[in-house]
Amino acid sequence: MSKYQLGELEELVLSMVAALGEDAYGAAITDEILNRFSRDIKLSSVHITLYRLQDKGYVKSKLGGGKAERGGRRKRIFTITAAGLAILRAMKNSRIEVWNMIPQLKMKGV
Amino acid sequence: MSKSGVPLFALRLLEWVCPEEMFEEIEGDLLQHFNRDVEMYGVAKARRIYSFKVLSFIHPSIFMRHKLSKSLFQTALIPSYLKTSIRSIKTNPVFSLVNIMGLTIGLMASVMIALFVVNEYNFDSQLSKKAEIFRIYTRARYTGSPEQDVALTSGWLGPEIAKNFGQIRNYTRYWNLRTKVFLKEEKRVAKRNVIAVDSSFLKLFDFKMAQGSASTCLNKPSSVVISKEIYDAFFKPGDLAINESIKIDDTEYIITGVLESIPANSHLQFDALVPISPLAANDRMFQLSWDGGFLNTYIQIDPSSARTLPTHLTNLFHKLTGHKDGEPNSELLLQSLNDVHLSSSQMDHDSNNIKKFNGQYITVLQFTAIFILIITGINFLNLSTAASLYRTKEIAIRKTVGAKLSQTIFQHVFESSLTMVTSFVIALALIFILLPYVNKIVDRDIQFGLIFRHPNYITFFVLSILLIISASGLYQAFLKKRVKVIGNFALQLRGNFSRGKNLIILQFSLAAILMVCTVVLYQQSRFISETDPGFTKDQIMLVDMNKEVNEKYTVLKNELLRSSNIIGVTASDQRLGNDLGGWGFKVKTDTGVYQFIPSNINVDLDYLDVYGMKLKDGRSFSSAVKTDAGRAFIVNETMIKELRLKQPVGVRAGHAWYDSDSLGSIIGVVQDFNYNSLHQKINPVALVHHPEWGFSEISIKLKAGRVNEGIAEAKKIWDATISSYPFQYSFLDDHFDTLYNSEKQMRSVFLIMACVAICISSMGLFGLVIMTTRGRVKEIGIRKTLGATSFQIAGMLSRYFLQFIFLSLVIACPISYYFANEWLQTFAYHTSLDVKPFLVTTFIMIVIALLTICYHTIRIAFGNPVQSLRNE
Repeated sequence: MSKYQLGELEELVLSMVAALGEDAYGAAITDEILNRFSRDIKLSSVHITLYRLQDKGYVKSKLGGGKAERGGRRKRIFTITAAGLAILRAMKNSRIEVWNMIPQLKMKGV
Repeated sequence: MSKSGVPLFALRLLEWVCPEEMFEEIEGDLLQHFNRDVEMYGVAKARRIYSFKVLSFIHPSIFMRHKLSKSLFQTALIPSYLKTSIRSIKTNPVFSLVNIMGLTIGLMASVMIALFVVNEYNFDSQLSKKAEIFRIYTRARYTGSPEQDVALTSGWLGPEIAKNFGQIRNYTRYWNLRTKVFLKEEKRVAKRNVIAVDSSFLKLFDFKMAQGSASTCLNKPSSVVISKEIYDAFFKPGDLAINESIKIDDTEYIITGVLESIPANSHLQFDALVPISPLAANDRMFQLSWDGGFLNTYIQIDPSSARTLPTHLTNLFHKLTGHKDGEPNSELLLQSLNDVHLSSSQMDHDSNNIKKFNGQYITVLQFTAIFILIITGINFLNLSTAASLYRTKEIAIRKTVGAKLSQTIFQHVFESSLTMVTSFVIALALIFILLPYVNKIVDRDIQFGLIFRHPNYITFFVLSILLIISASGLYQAFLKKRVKVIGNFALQLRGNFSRGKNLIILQFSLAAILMVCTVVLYQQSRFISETDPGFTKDQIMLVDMNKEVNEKYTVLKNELLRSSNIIGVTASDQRLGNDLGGWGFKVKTDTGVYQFIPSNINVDLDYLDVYGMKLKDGRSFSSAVKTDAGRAFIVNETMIKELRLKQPVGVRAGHAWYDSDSLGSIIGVVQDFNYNSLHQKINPVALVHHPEWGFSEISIKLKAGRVNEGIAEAKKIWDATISSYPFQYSFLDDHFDTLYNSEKQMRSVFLIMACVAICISSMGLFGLVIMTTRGRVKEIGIRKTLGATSFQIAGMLSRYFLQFIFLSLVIACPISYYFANEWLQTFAYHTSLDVKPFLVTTFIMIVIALLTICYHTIRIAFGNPVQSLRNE
């Protein structure tokens, strides 16, 4: 397991990929982030991040399923890999460890 | 607008930026957002947002994912391109040959011109102080004569101006003592250019020295610095010549330096240097009272003072010589060393400036070179396009198999490059081989490596070649776009030939202009050699005189005249064939004493007879009349005209220093004669007879056909009579020829250029013929079946092409008339511009054009119409 730490955007996008499952593609992830967190991230940033994650092996992708609203262009659906899950898990654990040290942020039931 | 309404430009940009694997999904995502934005904000804003989003995709993480080999070079296809190139050369050897030949000739011509031009600019470049060295020259305005620039200055000028002007860092005088005999241990060698210079000469003109030190070698009075040639004549290689003694004209000198070979591109060429100060101390020519110029003066200054210094020099000159109004108006001016070689064509008495060239011709040459390159490039384009007509099948197949535009472009660029590189290599090799012959024609020493010192020219050629290659490749590739793949790959290329036609007309016009100019050049040359200059130029041998020769002149003359091969002997203080020096002259008319400066020449009694000059009035000098020595003057018609003398014979006249009451008189009027090149107008001339002054040159008229015998006899008599001076002769007609050196060289160059232009234009025409006749094969087939004879067809085709020639001639005539006229005006005496050059040009061009087109025209015209119509 690599000791690499994901950047903030990479972590976010990776999480979204894991969360959205079959709907994990560029436009959807961008819209979801916009709707959930009110963060207006550029489509290109998301795409670039996705490709980077793919280069690092945390996600894999496949082209599939063109829809009318896209004029028939297929989407590239991203799926998280085992390595991706592992690093997410590791990050989650290290975050919680740190936050537990902060008195004001003590979380109950974790 | 596309169906989806997205901005097309942005979409294309996206397609260009994204690698293929990613394009579709990104395009889709953008489209998804676009559609949503249209609903939310409307089409206009949605499009704007879309464009911005596309821009944001321009990011290294995206476009760096392109696989490099794919987007830049189609290296995989190169073997295929190579094969088809070679195949096309094999199927059409004539074409490829013509194309390469045209390119080679054009490139050769341009590069050759570039080498020549670079060499001219390179004159004197090895001198480290070149930028700071200036030459002083005199601009003289004599009443009755146009102003003249003379390269000579007074002997005392150098030291005086150095004393008075601090800006002058250094100066040197350069006085050509002409021929001297060098004697060491019984061996005699005569050298023609022995120069007296100031000790600073080698500091200004830092020629390399093989032995001795440049800063001290000319300090001692009896020093001499010898050239490599003199060293080789008297010493063995490796000998130390320093401190050896050598006799120059019977005076002992000590060798203090040996020069390495003086480079061919130095405007100063000399055999030995001696100090000038000891000579100046004893010579009245160096006194302030002697204001005549007879040597060159060079100064070293900061170039910024060059503008104001001449005025100061002139003022000082007038002050020191005490010139008042009415006397010759002379002005001293500075000429930068950069200009000495190329801008001295109007400079008179400039014999120390070796191989000078008219700089205006350089500009003409440069333009010619550019024109030739343009013609060559256009030609290459046309011919390559024409050749590709035979390859439509190949193109159609490539397109079917999926050739992209970029690949087609690459293929054609590749092929053009092959041809170009081949031609260029051949051109360079040919230049290398032919350089010695060219050097002989232009009388220069051009070295191939010279061009590497001028990277500008190299850049120019490389850029031009690249331009031609890319233009040709792109042009052809775009033409091929229009090739439709139909049925059995028939030729569907609807040629746009009007551009080709215009280019041909341009090429032939340029060729015609060059030809007309060449003919005019030759006409003027013939005019020069055929014009009667007013005296005999041929079979006149000129021999240098020294003091001893002058003393024994009468004896020598009588001996020489006894020979049957010699029909005349006379002497003079100047040679005909350059500007004649002048000094003050007075004429006393009814209205008063008129003083001015004509050209004067001191001659022996029978000068007019030997030179065959015609007397219009009065008589020639006679030994019977004692006052003829010094008091008799023969003047030319121009002087009579200027002075408006009605009865010139008997008018009192004399040198300016004669007392107005005891003048001599004009005894005769000689017909005007061209003592100078035909560039110059004839000035008033006075022939005087002062045997006591001494002469500097004997003129021996030899019997025609017995020239060699005459020379041998003269030498025998000379050697028997004269002991201190070698028999050195030259011929007057050769001397006159050198006046027209620039013109002669230009003549050869223009002839070559005209031939080159014709060759290239013909090749262009060749290509055009092929293109147009191929397109008209069907038409001709139909005509023939309808009853036209082959001759009629041939005539029709020929007429079609000849109209281009006529159009070119029509364009060329006024332009060449203008230039030819301008050039002829530079001669005071010239042939008139008549129709001959134009007729000759027309004739030659029609003949050549017919020859070019006949092969293909005849083939098509006499071909079987069944063949051409079969493929319908």
